[in-house]
Amino acid sequence: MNDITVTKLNKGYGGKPVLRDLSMKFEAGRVTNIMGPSGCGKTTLLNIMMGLEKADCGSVHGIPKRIAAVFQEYRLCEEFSPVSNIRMVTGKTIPRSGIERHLRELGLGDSMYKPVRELSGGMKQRVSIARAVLHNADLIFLDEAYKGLDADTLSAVIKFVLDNSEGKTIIHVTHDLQTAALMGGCVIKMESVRYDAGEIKD
Amino acid sequence: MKNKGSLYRVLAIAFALGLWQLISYLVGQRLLIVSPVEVLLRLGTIWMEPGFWRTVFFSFTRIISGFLIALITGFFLALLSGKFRFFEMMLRPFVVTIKSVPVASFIIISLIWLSARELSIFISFLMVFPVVYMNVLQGIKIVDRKLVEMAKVFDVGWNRSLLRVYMPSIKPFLISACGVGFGMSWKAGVAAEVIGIPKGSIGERLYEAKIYLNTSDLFAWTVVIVLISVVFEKLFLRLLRAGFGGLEKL
Repeated sequence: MNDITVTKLNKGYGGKPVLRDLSMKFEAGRVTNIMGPSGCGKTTLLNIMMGLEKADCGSVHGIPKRIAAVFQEYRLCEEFSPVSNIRMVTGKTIPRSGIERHLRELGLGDSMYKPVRELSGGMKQRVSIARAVLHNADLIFLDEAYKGLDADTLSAVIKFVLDNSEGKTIIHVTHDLQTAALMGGCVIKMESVRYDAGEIKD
Repeated sequence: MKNKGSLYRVLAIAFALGLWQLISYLVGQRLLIVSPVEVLLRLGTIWMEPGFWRTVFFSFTRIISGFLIALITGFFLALLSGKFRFFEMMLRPFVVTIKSVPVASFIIISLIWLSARELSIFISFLMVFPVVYMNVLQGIKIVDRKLVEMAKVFDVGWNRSLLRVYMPSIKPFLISACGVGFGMSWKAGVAAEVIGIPKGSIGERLYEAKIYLNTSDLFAWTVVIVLISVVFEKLFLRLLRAGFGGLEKL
């Protein structure tokens, strides 16, 4: 598995730049926390790295074929159960009993066969985290993945993520120092691109 | 509340039957309109006549075949159109033509190409296909784009994407299309039989009733068609909903 490099990435919407000449490197098999204020382009960067958006210019190299993500929204199939949502991405790489065990570990033992639409926000969040972690991926994107989890659940969920992601590259976007500290690894700070009367200042 | 709804339904049916009885009494000519009582009496005997079930079977198998072929082709062509815009554009003139050409024109044109025995299959197919196609395509177009992106990121196969991302969005449209399409297939299929007059069909019976001015037979056969159509529509929709329910438990 190679390191991931982002080189001179630029992206703007309606003439307003969000990313400008952004370059950074993500070490393979490690956790990298990307921190920065809201609107500084963290999610845009992830979207470009995941192939969901195209950069205006610049390049991203080293993205492995198998990736997983926890998005800011849950992005779960609401009609289906947590087990079904996870099996959708894992296929038969993990037996059903394995998925059930992991869901129990995350405190979802009573809800694993209920339709997701009947679960609370915090439960949905844990299901989307389990889906990303249990997917057979080499790179996991976590975009504000722990938002809305209470303190007790937070440390248990982070432990679950780290225990089950050994050797995987994790790119964790957050603006919360505590979750970055619990995730460990290194931190990259992003700043907003300021856009004043048509003039760009870093 | 449910009881009240049922009561209103019964009252509405009773009112319609009463009105029918009154009109038939006022007109007073059995040739023009028979009373509901007479139709009921005829219905009581018609099903015991030799060939009744064979006639029903003949029309039923053909019309339902046309419906099912339209359901399958409409569904899969809509999937292709949802995936490839070019395909949708190529198919559009055909769908618009099928939708807007009067069914009688299709029946007469098709009689040149097909035997009368197969006509109702083709005509019920033609009537149901655009309904299923357009509804399923609509369901695909309003699918949650964020879920589609999720499936792309996780590299989910097309079959699993179809079942879990697209089907929940297609489901209400497909059920509605089947409900509408079922009635249409019977209307158009029987109309094709009345014009083509294949031997041993319900259409032939209707045609004969008209020729011999046997109005009670005409009404009785019409009621038979409505009953079969409604009963099988309800059964089919129940099966479809159960199928979707099973899918959600996967």
